[in-house]
Amino acid sequence: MRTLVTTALIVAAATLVFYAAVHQIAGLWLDVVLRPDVRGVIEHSLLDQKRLRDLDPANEARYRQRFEETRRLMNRIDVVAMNRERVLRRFEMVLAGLFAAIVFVATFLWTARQRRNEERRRAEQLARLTAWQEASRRHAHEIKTPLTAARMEIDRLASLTPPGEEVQRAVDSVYEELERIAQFTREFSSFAMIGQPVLRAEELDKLVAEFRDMFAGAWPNLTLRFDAPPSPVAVSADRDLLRQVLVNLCTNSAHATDGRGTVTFAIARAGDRVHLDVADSGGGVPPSIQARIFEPYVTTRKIGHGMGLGLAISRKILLDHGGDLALLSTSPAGSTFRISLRRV
Amino acid sequence: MVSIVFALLLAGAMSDRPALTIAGDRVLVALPPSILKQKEVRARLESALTTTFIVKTKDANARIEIRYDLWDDVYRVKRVDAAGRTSQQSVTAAQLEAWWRTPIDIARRGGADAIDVELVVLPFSAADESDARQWLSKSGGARDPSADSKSVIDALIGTTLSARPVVSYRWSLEARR
Repeated sequence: MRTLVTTALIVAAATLVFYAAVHQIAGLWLDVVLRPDVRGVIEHSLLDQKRLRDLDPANEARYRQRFEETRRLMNRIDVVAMNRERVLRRFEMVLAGLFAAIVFVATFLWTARQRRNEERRRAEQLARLTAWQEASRRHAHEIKTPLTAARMEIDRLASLTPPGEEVQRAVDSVYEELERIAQFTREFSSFAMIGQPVLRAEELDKLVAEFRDMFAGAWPNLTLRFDAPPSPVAVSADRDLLRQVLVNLCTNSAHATDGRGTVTFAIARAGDRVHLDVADSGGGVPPSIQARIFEPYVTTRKIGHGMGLGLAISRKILLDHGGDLALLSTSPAGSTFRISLRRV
Repeated sequence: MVSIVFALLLAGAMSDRPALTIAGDRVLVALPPSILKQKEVRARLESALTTTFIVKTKDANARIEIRYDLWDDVYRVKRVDAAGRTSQQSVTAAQLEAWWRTPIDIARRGGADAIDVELVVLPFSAADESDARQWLSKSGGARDPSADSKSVIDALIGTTLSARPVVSYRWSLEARR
């Protein structure tokens, strides 16, 4: 809808400018033809033909023919002169209409191309994330099998070895490392196991309000602001998956503000879409990773404090919804992520 | 503005009204020469265009066309009466008034002897209009005028030309036998 309004405004503005230009050109064109001195010359020409006839009667037919041709021209000019304003208006209208049509078609094609490019970009990102997802699933599987075997062997080794402080310390250390690998694998699996959304009509404002209350309980020092829109906003979404996206975004925000900042939710209708902006008061996304922020394993956290899968998972979920997730703005004063969903 | 002009002309013409006569089952009208002397009409008659007078009744129309021919210094006049009969001739300026007075068949006689007659004076004829339209269309960009291929633009601009009445008269007349 916004695109259509923008297109219409561009077309209207361009047409007005063009109309003004044509008014000058068309008026000039007609006025050249309809100038009184042009008509005066034609009248003189008529009288000249009559005088020539009197001087040269032998060629009367020839002069008569020229006279008639000139008279017809004068008549035509007189008829057009009587309709000058109407001719001018129609001429301008036709040209302006043609121009408007051309601008409209060009704008429409340009908009369609933009939309196609956007769709292609989203499809490519979805394909890339799906490939990552498949790789994660395989890696998780490949790690889990030897991990289980290693645990069993350690258990057996511990049972075969006589008890001793040194042995127990080594066994515990191995267990600890294996648990770290298991944790790593679980995170890996969470990306691999994102399900396809089961889309239903959901009231986004209600869902956000419920989420705010739930998340506030987990992060008591975090300020969560949400001004609900005056009327319900329904979107096509999988409630659980959308909540997971909000958890990921807000957890990032909570970490970015040490759990003491502010997260603001804002809902806006945008044609056949609904935007949910999630803004925080954190330190922003470093420029070096802004372009890759939604790729897996891209994170600002220290090693061992998260694998950087949350945003990749979130975007995958929203792309699967037919929506999108974008970094709308970021600065040292905070970042805003935009969730885009289909409006119902 | 048009209505004011119309009212003034109507008031002026009241003293010089057309004469309605009945001939068999036909109604004829003789138009007053004062019409030709009206400033607006006089100006049209002096142009090279064909001034057209449409005589309208409830059921039929008659048409009178007058064009000044500068070459021969005569008026080319033509009448097409309500029965479809056409007559044309050339008359001098001195003969024009007499020719104008000649009654023209404007309708079949109905039940009543009273009839409403409207006279509309157009500055040019349909032929003048058509000729100017073609000329304008060709000027508007038809690449090959002989091909008779009119673009939409040509057609749209061409159709703007139309003869708007110079003056109109309306009378309610009673027939004289």
